[in-house]
Amino acid sequence: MNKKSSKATILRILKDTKPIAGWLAVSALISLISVALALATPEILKSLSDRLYAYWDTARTGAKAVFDNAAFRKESVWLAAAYAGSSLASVFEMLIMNNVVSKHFTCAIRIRMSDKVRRLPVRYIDHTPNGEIISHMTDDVSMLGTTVHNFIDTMISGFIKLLGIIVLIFLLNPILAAAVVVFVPLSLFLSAKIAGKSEKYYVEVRKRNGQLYALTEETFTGLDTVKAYNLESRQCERQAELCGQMRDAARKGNFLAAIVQPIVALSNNIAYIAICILGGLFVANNLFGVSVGTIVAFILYARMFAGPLESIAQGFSMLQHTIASAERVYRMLDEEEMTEATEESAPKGEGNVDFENVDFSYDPKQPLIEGLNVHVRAGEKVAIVGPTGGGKTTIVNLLMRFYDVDGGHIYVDGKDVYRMPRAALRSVFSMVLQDTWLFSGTIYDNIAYGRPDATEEEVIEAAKRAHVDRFIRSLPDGYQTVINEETTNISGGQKQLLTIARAYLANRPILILDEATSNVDTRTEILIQRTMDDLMKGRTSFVIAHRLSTIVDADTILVVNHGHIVEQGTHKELLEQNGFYAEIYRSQYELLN
Amino acid sequence: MKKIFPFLKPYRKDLILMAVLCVISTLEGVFLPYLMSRIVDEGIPTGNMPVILKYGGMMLALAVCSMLCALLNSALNARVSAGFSHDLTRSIFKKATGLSFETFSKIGTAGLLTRSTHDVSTISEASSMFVNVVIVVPILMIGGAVFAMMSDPVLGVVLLAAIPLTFLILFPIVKNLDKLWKLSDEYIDEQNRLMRERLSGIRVIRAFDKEAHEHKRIAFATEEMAKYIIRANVHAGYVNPLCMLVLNLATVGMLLIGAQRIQDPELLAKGLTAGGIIATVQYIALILNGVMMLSWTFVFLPHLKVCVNRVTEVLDLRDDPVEPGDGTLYGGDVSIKGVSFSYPDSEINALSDIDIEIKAGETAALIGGTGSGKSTLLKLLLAFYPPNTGSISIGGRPYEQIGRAAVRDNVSAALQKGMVFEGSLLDNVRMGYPKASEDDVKTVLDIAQMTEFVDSHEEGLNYHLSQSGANISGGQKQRISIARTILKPASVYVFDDSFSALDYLTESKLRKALNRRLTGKTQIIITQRAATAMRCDRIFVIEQGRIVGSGTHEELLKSCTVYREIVHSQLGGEA
Repeated sequence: MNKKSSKATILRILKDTKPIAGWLAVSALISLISVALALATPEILKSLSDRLYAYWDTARTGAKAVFDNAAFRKESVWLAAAYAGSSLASVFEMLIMNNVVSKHFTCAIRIRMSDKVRRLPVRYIDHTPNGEIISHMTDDVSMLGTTVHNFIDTMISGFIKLLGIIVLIFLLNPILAAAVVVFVPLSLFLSAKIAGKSEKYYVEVRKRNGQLYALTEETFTGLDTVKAYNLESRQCERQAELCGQMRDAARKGNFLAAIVQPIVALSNNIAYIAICILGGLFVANNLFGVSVGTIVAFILYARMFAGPLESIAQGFSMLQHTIASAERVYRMLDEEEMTEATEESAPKGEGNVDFENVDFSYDPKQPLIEGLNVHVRAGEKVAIVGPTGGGKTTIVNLLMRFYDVDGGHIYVDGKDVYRMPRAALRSVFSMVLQDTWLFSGTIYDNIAYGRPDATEEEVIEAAKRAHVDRFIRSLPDGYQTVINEETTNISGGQKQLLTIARAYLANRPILILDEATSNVDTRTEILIQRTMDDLMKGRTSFVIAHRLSTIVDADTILVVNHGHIVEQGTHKELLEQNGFYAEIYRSQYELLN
Repeated sequence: MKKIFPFLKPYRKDLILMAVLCVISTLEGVFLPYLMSRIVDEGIPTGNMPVILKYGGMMLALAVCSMLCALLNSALNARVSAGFSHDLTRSIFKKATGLSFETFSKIGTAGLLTRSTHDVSTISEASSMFVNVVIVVPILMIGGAVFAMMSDPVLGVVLLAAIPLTFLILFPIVKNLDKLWKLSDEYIDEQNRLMRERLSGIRVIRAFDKEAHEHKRIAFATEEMAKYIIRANVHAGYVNPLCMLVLNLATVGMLLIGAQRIQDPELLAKGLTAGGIIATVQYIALILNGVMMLSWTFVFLPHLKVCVNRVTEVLDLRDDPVEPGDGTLYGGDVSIKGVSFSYPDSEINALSDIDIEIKAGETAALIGGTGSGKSTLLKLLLAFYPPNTGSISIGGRPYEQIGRAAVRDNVSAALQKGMVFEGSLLDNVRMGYPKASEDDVKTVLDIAQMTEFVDSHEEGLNYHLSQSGANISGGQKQRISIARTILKPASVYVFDDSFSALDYLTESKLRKALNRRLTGKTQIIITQRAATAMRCDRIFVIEQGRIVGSGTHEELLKSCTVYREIVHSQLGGEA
C-alpha cells in the first residue's frame, strides 16, 4: 500500500463524509464541552482535598481549626455538576454519532454498493466469490463507519484532551508533570511493541484454528467415508497434530498478550509512586507551592492521560485496516459498469434468432467460439449437447447477453441485440435452469416473479399447467407457503416445477431450458419432462440436453466440447457425419448392450 | 461442569499457584492508596523525609513485586488455557469420530461441529477470564472495604453499599445489551442472506429484469439493519458514561461525608485522617472497576453454561470405536438374508425382508428412485448400522463374527457424496491404502478418467484440494472417490450413484476400464439410471425398502412393472 494511494483513499473517505460534516462538527463541539468539564474536575478536587488536609493538619494538633462547610459544599456541588455535565455531553455526542454515522454514512454506502450490483456485468459476479462481495458490504463498510466514528472521539477530542492535560499539569508543577509525561506513554509504547509480537502468534493461531475447523467439518460431514475406509485414527492423528501446533502458538501469543497488562500497570504505578514521593517531598518541604491537593489532582490527571493516548494509538493502528477496507469498497464501486444501447426497442417477439460470425471467449488467450453461425426460425427447437463442463451454458450466456460477444452479431427477430437495452432483449426470453433459483418469499410471489401484475387465476393456471398446483394445495399454507433456507418439505423436483410455472406465467416467445433431472425420482422426472415439452409448444426453444433421447427431434443440434461448437446439424445429419455426436450417442447405448 | 473439571486436573498445581500469584498482585492495587495515605498523614505534616522515602520505597517494591507475580501468572495462565483447550478439543474430536452413526445422528453434524470448535474455544477462553474475575474481584472489593473501614467505618459502609447499587444499575443494562447485539446480528445476517440470494440468482433476476426490485429489497433490509445496529450501539454507548457518572457521584458523596466526619473531634482522636479519606476516595475507582468486570461476567455466564452443557452432552455419549482389523480378504460372495431395518427413532422400516445373493465376481446393480432405501442398504453393508433382523455375510462369514473393521477391509465403497478431504490429490486417493505407490495411484486415476485433470495441473498428483474439494467440480470429486475405492484391495466394490454426475461418454469409458481392473471381484452398482444398470449380470429393483424384482434387464422388462416404468421414463420408447 503506497503513501499516495493511502492519502487518496483517506481524502475519498472524507469526501464521503460530506453529507454528515455538519453533524460531525456539532458532535466535535459537544465532545469538546465534555472534555473541558472533565479537565476541570481535578482542579476542584484539588481544592477540596486541600481544605480537608488543612483542617485536619491544624485540628490534629489540638489547635482550633475552622472548616468552611459552605464553601466545601458549594465546591462539591460544582464538582458534581461538572461530572454530570461531562457525562451528559458525552452521551449526546454518542447519540448523534451513532445515528448519523450508521444512518447517513454506512447505510448510504451499503445502498450505493447494492445499487452498483445492478449495473455490474455478470462476468464480475461470476468471477468474484459471493462471500467476498458480501464481506465488502458488511465488514469493510462497518470498519469505515467505526473509523469515522472514532475520528471524532480520538483524533479531535482525544488530542485536545491530551493537550489540555499536558498544559494544565505543567502549569501545576513541571517536575511532577514530567513524571506523568515520561512514564505513562512509556507503558503504551511497550504494550504496542509487545502486542505487535503477540499478533504474529495469533496469526498462527487463527490459521491453525481455521485448519482445525476445516478438518473437523470435513471429518464430520464425511464420517461415512472416514468409517468406510477405517480412517478414524488417521483423522484423529491429524487433528491432534493441528491441536498441538495451535496450543504452542496460543501459549506464546497468550503469554505475550497477557504481559501487556502488568507492564502497563507497572509504568502507570511508577508514575503514581513518583507523584506520591516527589509530591510528598515538595509538600513537606514547602517547595514549588505543591499541596496535598496537587498530589490528588496529579493522580487524577495521570489516570486521565492514559485514556486518550491509548485510543489515539489504537486509532492509528486501525487506520491501516481502514484504508485497506476502504480500498476494497471503492474498488467495487469503481468497477466498470455495463453500458446500455437504446437505438432499438424490444424485438417483436416472433422468435427468430440469428448468430452471425460470432466470436467469443472468456479469456482472450483461449478462444472459444469462432465464427459461429446459427439461424433459428420461430418455433424451432435448438438442442445444445456435449459432455459435462464442456461449455453448454456459454450459448445461453450470449443469448441472454449475460456476456457480450467479442465479434459478430446476434439478431432477434432481425434486430441487432447490441443496439437495444438488455432488459428489452430479455423481455422475450424465459429461462428454466438446472440450478433452481427461488427467492425467499411465498410460492405465489415466486411464480408471479416475472409478471407481478398477473391475476390470481393466471398464477394458479400456470401452476396447474406445470403440474404443481395439487402439490401446492397439499401444503398447509398453500400458495402462501414461504420458501426459505429451512424449507425442507419441498423437494428439488417440485422446486423445478415451480420454476417452470414461473416461465409459463411469464409467457415469452423464446425459451431456454436447462434439463434438470439428476437427483429427481422417476415419476417427477417424467412430470418435468412432460411439462417442459408442453411449455415448448409454439415457442422457439434452446434446450441444454443431458439425455439424448429427448432431443433427437430438434431442428438444430449444437455439439459443444471443450467450450467449442464442434458440430452442428440435425440428429440424422450428425449421425451421418459419424463424429463426436455419433460417439456420444453411441456411448449412451453402449451402456445398454 | 462435573465432566469439564477433570480436564483441569493435570493443571491443578498451576492453578493453585496462579491463584496465589493473583492474590499477591491484586493486593498491590489495594495497598498503594493506603501507603499514599501514610505519606500524606505521617510524612508530609512533619516534613519527615525518611518516612516519605520509606513508604515510597515500599510502594515501589510492591509495584515491582506485583508485576513479577502478574508476569508469572500470565505465563501460567497462557500455558493452562492453551493446554486445557488442546486437551478438550482432542477428546471431543476423538469421542465424536468414535461414535456409532446412531449416536452421531442424535446430535448431528452441525451440532457436533459447533461443540468441538466454537463451544470448546468459548469454554477455554472463559476459563482464563474466570480465574481473574473469581479471584481479583473479591479481593478488590474486600480489600478496598477493609482499608476504608480502617480509616473510617462509616465511609467503609458507604463504599460497601455502593457495590450492590452499581451492580443493580449496571447489570440490567449490560444484560439487555447482549440481547440487542444478538438482534442486530440477526438483521445483519438477514441482509447478507438477501445479498447472497441475489448474487446466486443473478441470471434469473436479470432475465426477468428484476434488479431494481432486488435492490429495493436489500436497501430496505439495510435500513432496517441500521436501525437495529444503532439501537444496540446506543445502548452500549450508555454503559461507559453511566459508569463514570456513578463512580464520580460516589466520589463527591464520600468527600461530603468525609468532610462531616473529620470535623468530629472524637473521630479525629480515634485516628481519622485527611490522607485516609483521600485514599478511600481512590478505592471507589478500584471497586467499581471490579463491579464492571463482574457485570460482564454475569452476562457471559448463561452463554457459557450453554456451551458447557453442550460439550458435556458429547462427553457423556458412549462411543463405540472400531477395533482395527488385520486386512484378511474373505472372498466376494455377498449374502443378505431376511434383513429388515428401521432407523433409530423411526417406526417405519427403511428396509424390509431384503434377500440378496451375489456370487463372487459378479456385477450387480441396485436400482431405485430417491428414498427407495438403496443407500440405506449400503450403510448396512458397511456395518454402519446392524440390521434389526436377518443377517449379512461376506465370503461366507457373518458380519457379527468378523467385526466392523474387517467388514470395511473387505467392502470398498465409493459413497454418493464423493467426499474429498483437504490435502493433495495423491493423499486423497490413497487414504484407504497408504501403501500404494504413486504409479498405482496414477493407474487408478486413469481408470477414473482423471488423467486429463492431473496432466492439466503443474503439480500433478500433488495438486492441492481445498476443504471438501471446493476447488473442483462434483464430477471430479466423484471420480476421485472412485479412484480411491478401486485402489484399495477388497473383496467387494460398491459404487453408490457414483456415475450420476458423469455424461454418458465418460461413464462408458470409465466403466470399461473399471471392468478390466476389477475382473474377478464383486461389484455392486447403486444407481437411478437405467442405462447404468442394464448391462450388469443381475439387477435388483428396490422400491420403498423392498426388493420388487431381480434378474437380468430382459427378464425384468417382462416381469417387473417398476423397472419397466423407470426404463421408459429415462430412455423413451427406444429401450
